[in-house]
Amino acid sequence: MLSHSAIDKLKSICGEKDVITSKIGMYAYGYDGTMLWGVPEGIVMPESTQEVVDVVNLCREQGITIVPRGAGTNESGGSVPVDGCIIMNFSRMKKILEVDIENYVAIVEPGVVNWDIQEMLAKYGYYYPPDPASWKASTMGGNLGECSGGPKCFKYGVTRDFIYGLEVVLPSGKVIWVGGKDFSSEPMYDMTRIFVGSEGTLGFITKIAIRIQPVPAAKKTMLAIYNTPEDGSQSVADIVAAGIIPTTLEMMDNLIINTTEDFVHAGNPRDAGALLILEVDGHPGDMDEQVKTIGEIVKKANAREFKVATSADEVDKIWLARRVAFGSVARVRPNYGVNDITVPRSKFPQAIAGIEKVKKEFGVTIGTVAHAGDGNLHPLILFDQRDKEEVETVHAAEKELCKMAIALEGTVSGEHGIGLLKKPLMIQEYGPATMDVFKKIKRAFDPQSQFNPGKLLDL
Amino acid sequence: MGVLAEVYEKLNTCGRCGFCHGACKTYKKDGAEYMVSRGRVQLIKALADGKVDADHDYEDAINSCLLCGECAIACPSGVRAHELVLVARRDLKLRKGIKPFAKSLVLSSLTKPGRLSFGFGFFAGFGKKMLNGLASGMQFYRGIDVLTMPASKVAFAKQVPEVITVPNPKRKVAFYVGCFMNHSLVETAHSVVKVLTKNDCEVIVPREQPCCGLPQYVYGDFESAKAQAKKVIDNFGKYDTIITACASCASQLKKEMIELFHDEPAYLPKVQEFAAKCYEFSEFVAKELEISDKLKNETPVIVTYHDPCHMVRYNTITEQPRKLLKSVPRLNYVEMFEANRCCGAAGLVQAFYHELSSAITADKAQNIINTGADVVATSCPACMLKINSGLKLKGSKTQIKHVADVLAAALD
Repeated sequence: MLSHSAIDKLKSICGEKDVITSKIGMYAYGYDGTMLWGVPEGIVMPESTQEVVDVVNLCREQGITIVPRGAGTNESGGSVPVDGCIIMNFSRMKKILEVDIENYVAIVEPGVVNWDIQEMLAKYGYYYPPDPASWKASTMGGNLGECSGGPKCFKYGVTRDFIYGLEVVLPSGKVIWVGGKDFSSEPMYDMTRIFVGSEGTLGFITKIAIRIQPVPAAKKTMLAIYNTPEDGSQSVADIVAAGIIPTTLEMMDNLIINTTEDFVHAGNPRDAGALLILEVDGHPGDMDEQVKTIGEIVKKANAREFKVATSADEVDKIWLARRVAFGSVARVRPNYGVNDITVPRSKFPQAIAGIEKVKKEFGVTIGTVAHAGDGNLHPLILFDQRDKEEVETVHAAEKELCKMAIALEGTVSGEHGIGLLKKPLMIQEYGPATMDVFKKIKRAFDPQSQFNPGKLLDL
Repeated sequence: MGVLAEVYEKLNTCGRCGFCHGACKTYKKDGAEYMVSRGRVQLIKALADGKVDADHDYEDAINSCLLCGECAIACPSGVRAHELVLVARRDLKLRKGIKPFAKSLVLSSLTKPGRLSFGFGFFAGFGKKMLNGLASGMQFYRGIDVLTMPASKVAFAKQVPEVITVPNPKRKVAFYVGCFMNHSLVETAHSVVKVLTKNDCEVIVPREQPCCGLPQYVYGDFESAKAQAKKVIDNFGKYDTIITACASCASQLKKEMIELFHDEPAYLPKVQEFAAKCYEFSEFVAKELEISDKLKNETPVIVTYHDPCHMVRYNTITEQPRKLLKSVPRLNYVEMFEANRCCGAAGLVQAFYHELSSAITADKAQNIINTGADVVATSCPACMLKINSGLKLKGSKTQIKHVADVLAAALD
């Protein structure tokens, strides 16, 4: 339990309303988007860098660990409390501090929601490309901590490709700025990229300079339907080989086609083995040529149907099934496990085959949605969390999927972070020498292991 | 586990993805996890499992929900958190009654017409004089513009004849006025009658206008809500068409009442039959009347529309009010940003969580101001009062009007 004097001091730093010690607070801050659970000792909601610094200093003196949290939508346990910690919730630090259109930069606080930035930038005809599925809920601090991706990331890159610089509060209480406001201003070590994806284990981010860019003048949305997932994945490889980089290359398998049909009647054929949603964007003059090339490629890969949306309504119709994909499986069974294994694009067909194998071996139901362009797969394993035996089988199947990804020279986590869930798999992916370097980095920043201890790696 | 057992399966379907954070206005303003649907659902489940207590903090989390239903649209797993919150409120009512006393007083007064008339009558007379005598700082009480809030000494239903005849009646409709319109927004009630009578409808305004039961229903007092529903059906059941111009009452009469009686199979058919005869004002006018040829207007006016939660999410009446507004000559209709999102009024949330509520209203007011509209039209008396206050707090001159007021003005 936090001492009364510690609670009083936290309140004097952050204000009465920004320190939560109620029973419901402890409960509601116990989870994230996974099934993991922990109990914090308290929650602080700082509203400025100075408050973050003061809390960090107080906690260091008192030996209290701190787990950072944005909206808590993460899928790997990164923001789940550890024993004896307080939660530092950044959701009240949500100012957009600066928008510099000329230099393609915006500076935001970590609690700003990704979607709020998109809405604000839309007024200028600009946007911020990383678009995780959680973008209407998840914060920029969280996106940064997990290095989030999204459908648009095939063409444009993931979060780390859009961060110019950061203000960071270190475990020592010192505030540093890393990176700059544009590409060329980071001589020395690339510190910015060390913080991206570090899940708050090295420092707490209090300001983020993000790269923004103009909304492309034109966009085309296409749908290709296949008899087999193999044909669909062949198209993916062929399109990229043809030198076309679509903004989006999303794939759904037969199970997902059927669950989405049950839910929204999008009009996709239930006997199809897979479908691909493709989008290209750029200069209006380039669109027809790209659509034509893609049309020829998918036909060569035995697509049974190829549609090009000609109106906003048709675009919506094509996206309808994809948008409800996750929820539609939740209607089949009460729970689903989201995985984000990623393999080299060229090995995408092998990964699809690997998933089929896991399905049979473990007797589990899996529906797959994939950011196919990135080789990033979301095999959704369906189950009921109250059936303990089933949960065990699901965990075993998930482990097998991860092993398969590593064997294909891929990674166990494309965009959802490591947190607690994927931590044990890191040694397989990187080997002891690299893990040792990671540990040294952690110790260099956080010798007392005060910031999000036990996440990513064990010291 | 009590009544929570009824929804235990549904509580389990929340996968805790947190997508509701983007949809929840109370979370956007407060930022705490228990102020969002995921947190509320997890807490209800925790109470059912005996892991948290129904303490004061829990009550605040449950009672501060706007019940706007926006999270249900964002939820990939199809959880309807607002419906689960309703059950949690019923559970709270059964555990400890309606608290605090002020809330209990408001809810019970609505079921007692005498007390309601006295209250509004007192406010219209002496109460306002008293407020007028105080400093202007008192104009806004808890973010509500109490000084200019209309209040009638005599309820609307007692100002007009019980049957308002027209020369060649083509239809006969009963007007369910609703408590708020009956006692406060009396002018709007007159507008409703005008639109109907100018379009050859004979309008019956029964003297007895029992509360629809929605306020009791949403705070978990199902017994009172059912009693009110039966009173409404007793008084209005004999008519073929019942019209109300209050979005919340409309939702209660058309939909929620049916929910309420699912455990009384003997009475349920009567409720279903009644519900099928009830219409929201613009729903009826747009569907049944040929109004557009009769509308006249010389002065150009810019109008926008706010969708009350009970119109857009509890029912799907969104096109009809817009269509009617657009049919007024020289009316330049502009759409506002987030027109269909909650204004923050949310029944008694505005009274008991007024800072939260007013912060939400401020966003709505800003979205209205950004359109440059002269008039913001809507279909719900509660939204009207709250939005009016929000606009005035921002110093805006934009007027709030009911769709019926806009149409009635064009029928002179």
